[in-house]
Amino acid sequence: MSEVTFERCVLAAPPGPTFPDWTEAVRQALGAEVVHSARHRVVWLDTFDWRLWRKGFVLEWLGGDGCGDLRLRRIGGCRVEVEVGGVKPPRWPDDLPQAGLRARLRRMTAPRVLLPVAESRGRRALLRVLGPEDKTVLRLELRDEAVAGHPPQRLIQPLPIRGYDRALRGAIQRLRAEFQAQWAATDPLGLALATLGRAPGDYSNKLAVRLNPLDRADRALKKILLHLLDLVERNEPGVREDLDPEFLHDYRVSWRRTRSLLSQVKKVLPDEEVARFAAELRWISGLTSPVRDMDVYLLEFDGYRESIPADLRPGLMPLHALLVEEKRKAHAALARALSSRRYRSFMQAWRFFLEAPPPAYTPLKNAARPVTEVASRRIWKVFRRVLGQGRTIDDASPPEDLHELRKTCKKLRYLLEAFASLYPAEPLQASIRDLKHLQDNLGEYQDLAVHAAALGTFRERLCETAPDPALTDRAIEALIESFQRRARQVRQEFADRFAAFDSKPVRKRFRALFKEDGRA
Amino acid sequence: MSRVLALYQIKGGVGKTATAVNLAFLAAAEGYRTLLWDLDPQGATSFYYRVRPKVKGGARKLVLRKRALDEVIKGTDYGGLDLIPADFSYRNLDLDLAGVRKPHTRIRKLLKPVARDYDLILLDCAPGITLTSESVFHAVDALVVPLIPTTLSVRTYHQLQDHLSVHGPRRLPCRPFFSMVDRRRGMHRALVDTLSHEIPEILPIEIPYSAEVERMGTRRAPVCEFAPRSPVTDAYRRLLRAVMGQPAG
Ligand SMILES: Nc1ncnc2c1ncn2[C@@H]1O[C@H](COP(=O)(O)OP(=O)(O)OP(=O)(O)O)[C@@H](O)[C@H]1O
Ligand SMILES: [Mg+2]
Repeated sequence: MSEVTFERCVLAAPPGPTFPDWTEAVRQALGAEVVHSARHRVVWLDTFDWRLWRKGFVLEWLGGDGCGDLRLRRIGGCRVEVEVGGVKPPRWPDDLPQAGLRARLRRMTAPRVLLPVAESRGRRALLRVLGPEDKTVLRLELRDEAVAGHPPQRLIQPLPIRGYDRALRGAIQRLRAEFQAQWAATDPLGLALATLGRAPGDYSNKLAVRLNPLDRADRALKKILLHLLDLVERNEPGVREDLDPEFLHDYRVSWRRTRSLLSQVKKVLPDEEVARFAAELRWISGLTSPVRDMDVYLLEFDGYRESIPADLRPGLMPLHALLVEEKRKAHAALARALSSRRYRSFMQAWRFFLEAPPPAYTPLKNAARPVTEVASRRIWKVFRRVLGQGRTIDDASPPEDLHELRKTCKKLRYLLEAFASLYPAEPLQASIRDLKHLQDNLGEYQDLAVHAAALGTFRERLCETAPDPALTDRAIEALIESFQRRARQVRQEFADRFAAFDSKPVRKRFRALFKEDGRA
Repeated sequence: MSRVLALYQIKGGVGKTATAVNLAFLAAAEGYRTLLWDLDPQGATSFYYRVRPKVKGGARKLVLRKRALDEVIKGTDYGGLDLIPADFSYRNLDLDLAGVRKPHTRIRKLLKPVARDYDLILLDCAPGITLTSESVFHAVDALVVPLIPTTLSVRTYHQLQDHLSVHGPRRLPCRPFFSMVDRRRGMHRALVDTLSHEIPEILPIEIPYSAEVERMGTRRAPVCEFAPRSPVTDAYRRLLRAVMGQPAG
């Protein structure tokens, strides 16, 4: 099958002659011509959580000191999907003047910033082989490049042209026979990262802790909490510099999970110490919340604009300015706190506590029991509470009841995710999906209420400072009304969503996972 | 989701091919994964891109789906731009189509499996009203229609409208634009003005008459490639923005 040749990406050749001599030899052997040859730099770009890589793509920028080419390819394949020229390595898709690539990257990465994930330097020569009528039938890139401080690698990157497979196959045969070139085991990005002792995709905000079901509860819990602390620390630099909103989001979620587990899993860790840490965690949470709130409003801002009549939209501009300013202030306060002695000593103490091995003897009732037992009991209890709270809610119930239920659901969700490795994956994931379906409804309802309330406050503040206060007032009012309309809709959907969760198959699955526990 | 557009006019020699060749080139340079299908047996588009006007098995095998479109796609010399070459057998395309069930949906069906690999698919059609053009109408999101500012080409545009209202799929949008405009000619200037009023959907874009475009035949490359800063390239750029629905500017 002709496509097979596209499945591999790059050939590695042994060192030997100088780069110009090597280029000339290859050129002659393939009957090619040199399009250009120069010093170059490769910068591979992706988001912090590898969104492009996870979708199967590599984004690479190749150039000299100024502008260069930006290429999007499939991982491990050499066919270039998109290539644009004359650009600097972008930080945001919106930095690119090319509309097509811009839109495509935005779809895959928003709202994340593009970061250089690896870089190498060296020399590059672009060769092309011409067929009849001077049609290009193959392009090839010869590269000598090195990741800083490591020996250079000699690479041949074929850039095949669709429908001209014979040219590609012929060239590869000669390169293998005459230049000892071999297909490399992985993508050039993989090669570059390997020299750094890293692998692509080495960050995920998922809680992926493997627990031993028979382990003591205290040891297992500390293991989870340590993993969460690692996530916090990995996101911290991005939070400090406010590189994109997702750093803070992941940072906060890791802390929230931490707090939730501390309060949920009782009599496993010493109360006094936990209480001390919990106070500090509340302090941090209080500092991050205002920043996150503004991030959310700003992320949603385009949607806000769309949801009101066009003639009112200019009235929202002062709101945007206010949000940006509030965000700046809140972030400055957070950055100060993250550099404070209080924060540093808390982080040290927390890590020290988590890394300390659990004592052989413990007066805590649940500490030495098998983690599965402790987790199952707690999960079952919180699940029952979700059902209990949900069943009391009818069409006349006040919003507070739904908010309470939402909180309980969240607790349940964190427990399920933290202890996931103790249970069979398939039914557990199904249970999480069932819960998520309910949570989506409750979450949206809560967000709409919170946003409407916040907008009410902004509206008061803007009625003096906005250039056209009447217009801004009407614009925000229209927005609040659109939230309220949506909230009514969401509220109406609640009954069905809850009924789906409080149904026999869902209950049965929870029971099988957490109650019967293989005993009954 | 890819956007499928056809360069189409009943009248011949109005700039369909020149426009298709250049829009495709510019779209790829903007990072749109682009596929250009040369549907004219004369193969001018294939010629400009130096691709041999040959489809293995000819039109018949494609139409009968004995060969997938995917297998006959050729890469051009430009990244992100692929071409389905013309073949002399396309002159029998109408006959081949007439032999299948529901010929008007056939081209759409042929394109479907490759559509997800592209952001933009452009069809360069032969002139005239044929079974092939009808099949094209049902395969595309819009027709991009070059209008030379002459009274005759305006008449054919109205004929096209009448024809579409009877035989076309419902609400197939037309994106007419002015082609080969010679501003030195009083009649061109006058017609551009009156037509802009008479045909409200006409795009406010004029592709100027330019000797550069004729050089494409000897250069065998899009004018936008070898004369990136010429006014005609600029006009093609504006046309691309208009048909891709981006803000002008
Ligand atoms: N903007 C322009 N300025 C000058 N010459 C042009 C321009 N556009 C096209 N031409 C020339 O006009 C002739 C016809 O153009 P083209 O082949 O693009 O038209 P067409 O509509 O595709 O024709 P056909 O109906 O035969 O397919 C060609 O010789 C071409 O080089
Ligand atoms: Mg033509």
